[in-house]
Amino acid sequence: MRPVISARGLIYCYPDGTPALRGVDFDLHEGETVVLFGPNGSGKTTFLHHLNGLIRGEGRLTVCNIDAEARNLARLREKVGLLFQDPDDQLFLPTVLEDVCFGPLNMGAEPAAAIEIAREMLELTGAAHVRSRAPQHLSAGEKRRVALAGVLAMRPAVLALDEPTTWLDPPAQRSLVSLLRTLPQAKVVATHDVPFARAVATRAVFFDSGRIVAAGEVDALVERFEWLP
Amino acid sequence: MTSAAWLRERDARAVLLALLAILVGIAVTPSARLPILAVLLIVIAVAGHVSVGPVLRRSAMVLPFALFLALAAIPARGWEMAAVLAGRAWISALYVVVAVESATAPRLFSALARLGCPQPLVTVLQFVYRFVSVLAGVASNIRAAALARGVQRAGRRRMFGVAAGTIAVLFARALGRATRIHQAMVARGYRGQIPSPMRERMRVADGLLIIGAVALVLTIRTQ
Repeated sequence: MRPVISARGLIYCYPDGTPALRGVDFDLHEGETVVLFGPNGSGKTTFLHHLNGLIRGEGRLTVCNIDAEARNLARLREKVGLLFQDPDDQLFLPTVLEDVCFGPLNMGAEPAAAIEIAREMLELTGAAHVRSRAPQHLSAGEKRRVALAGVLAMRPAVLALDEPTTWLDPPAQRSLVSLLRTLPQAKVVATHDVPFARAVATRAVFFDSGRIVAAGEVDALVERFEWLP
Repeated sequence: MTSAAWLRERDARAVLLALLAILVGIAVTPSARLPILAVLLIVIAVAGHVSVGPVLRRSAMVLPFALFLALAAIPARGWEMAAVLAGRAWISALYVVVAVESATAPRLFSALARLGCPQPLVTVLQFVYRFVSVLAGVASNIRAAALARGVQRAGRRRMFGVAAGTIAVLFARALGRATRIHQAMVARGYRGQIPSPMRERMRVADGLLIIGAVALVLTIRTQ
């Protein structure tokens, strides 16, 4: 079976020359949820940004058989839904409904169809009741749900989630776990949250200094790298 | 239907055009007839069930600028004209705040874009509306952090230095935030335009609102 994401020898340096990825090999298959563990600054977020084409380095990356090249960026962004760590970065339009419509409208949907998709996704993520509200007036959990609805509204094949439990209280974390389990997309999740990783992951990889240094079961990696608080 | 509901159901474009007509009216109406526009404002606010306190508070933001200009005008135009200048500015601000209260900011942004206002300007307004509270929160956190470490005991000169540093930090954080927001927009297919799904339709009542505002201004101006 061909992987939905295949990265080979991915290398990336920041503009100031600091190396962020030093040759990452990674595969993600349909139905998988792979958790990315690793210290801050180890390259997890940079790797996620590659998947959506936000940044491009050296090496080979294909997503749903699409090569991550400049001419394919629009298609790549339709395939990979990227959830940012801070929902305040992601929710920038004056109302929730407009924000969730943003992706479908960019993909060419008619306004009525975009509103229909947005309503469906807000319903799915349990945020339908806030659709007329301004994002700045939502709780952290509501913002996270709305941000996820905005990503899902693009009907992506892969979800790339960057620290999705940040600022969520325990009930909101449980609710997020339940929601993610119902979503059929393959998922890559960068997180430090071990209980959350145990609840959603099918396997895990460990980043260190821009490389994947280990892969396997969540508990095996947690034990090997002493990755509990 | 109540008068408040009638006002809130108006197409935001009609509200903006009526507002524009009245603002022009405020600028060109002889000062002796300005109270008519002030009374009209009170009627609209009462009919629209607009809360007086917030409207007065928000409109007062224009007063420092208006009073500064009025003071500057005193040597050339005298006290009376200076007062009229400040009065015109304040009544204009009151009308703007009442219009925003009745139509809501998001609908007004969409209306501005549909009336042909340049997209970059609308985008900037949207972003200011969305993120001013986020930046205010950051500024508040920085202030709290400084106070928690005893900055108030260090003297006014030191506090001034801290305030200047805070502005620099705020600028840097705003820049970082802007970069991340842009990335988030690009990740969802942004290509230079922010499309809006909002579609309001002009009705007869909306046309009547615009015509009524223009007619009123012309009547006051020419009588």
